[in-house]
Amino acid sequence: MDARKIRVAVVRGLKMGAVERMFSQEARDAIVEGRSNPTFAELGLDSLARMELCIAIELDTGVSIAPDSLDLYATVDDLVADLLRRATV
Amino acid sequence: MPLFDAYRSEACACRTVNEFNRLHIDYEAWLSPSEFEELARGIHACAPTMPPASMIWARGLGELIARSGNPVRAWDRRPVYQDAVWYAPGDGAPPRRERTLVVCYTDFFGRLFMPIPAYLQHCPAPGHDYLVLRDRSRRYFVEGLADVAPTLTSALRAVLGAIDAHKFRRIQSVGASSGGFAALWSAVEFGFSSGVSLGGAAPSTLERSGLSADGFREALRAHPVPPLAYYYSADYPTDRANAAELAALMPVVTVPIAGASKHNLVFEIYQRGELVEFLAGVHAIPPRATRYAAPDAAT
Repeated sequence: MDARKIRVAVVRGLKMGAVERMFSQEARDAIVEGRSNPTFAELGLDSLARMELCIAIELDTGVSIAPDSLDLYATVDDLVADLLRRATV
Repeated sequence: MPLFDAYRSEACACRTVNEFNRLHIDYEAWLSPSEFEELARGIHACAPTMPPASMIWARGLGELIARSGNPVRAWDRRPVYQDAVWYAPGDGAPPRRERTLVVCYTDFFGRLFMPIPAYLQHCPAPGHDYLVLRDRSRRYFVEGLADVAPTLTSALRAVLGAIDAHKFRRIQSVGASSGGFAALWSAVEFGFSSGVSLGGAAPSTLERSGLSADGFREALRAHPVPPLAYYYSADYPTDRANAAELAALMPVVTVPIAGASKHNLVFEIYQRGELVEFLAGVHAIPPRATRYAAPDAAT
């Protein structure tokens, strides 16, 4: 699995979580293409959004992350890097 | 206990926390309060053999429901279509000609900012029936319901016809978040007694997603506007802007909830222990501006 596929999964999860910033196609494209690296604080995920993000990641990449574990990542790129590492182990 | 047996079978097949969350998010979109109570009783009775995630879920949702202070309500849940479920009051309710039908447009998660059993436990009964609609395509209901019809108007007409909605004394629409716009639109289009949006979208929200709100504007030109209300968190900028946009478009009472800063105003009010009183105002006809309201900056 390559980084782009993981980014697509993350963006899908953020959209499923109804994260307001992800309502913009431009914002979604920027993350998929690696031009934008928002912090999770900026994205403002509530508990349901965290669940939806982790569900999408697990369905799309096979990597299981618990919603509470998202606190370990400061930014989307941090999450993508860890998923890439774990998906290719 | 078929409900519990079905749940146990699904729960025991879950292997990860995310699979449990997915299962529980789904159940929270359709269970009635009494069905949840039945399910929770089964989970607690079989505690030694149930997954810990099931216990945590049953306890958490049970607390949400218990905090209403009302006895657990025995709604008669009647699926009309896959994404249209009618919750009718049980025995002892007044006849239908004296009851109000509330058409509920859920948010992206199939909720009314709260799990459905928790919302139904806090809102007015027994003179009300609730018709809960869900748009799994997440298109703000403007493309109708997947298994019914491809537009809001045609889908709602079909659902209302299927339950003989004309036999109710009156009909109100309420929508939360992504369902709020459809609640206002259908209230105008169908001439309901009132329409309420809880932190819902505005036409520009849809248009940013590539959807058209022209049908709503056309309805505003073609029909008299019933009492409409838009409740929102006073300190949440997006919804404050939506309130201003809607108020510029039509007569709508905008109600900013003082001290609330998140999109999910319903949960904020729940946390204050005031949800029953708040929803009594929301479901009144016309809706009441509540004592939670801050001076309105939107209008």
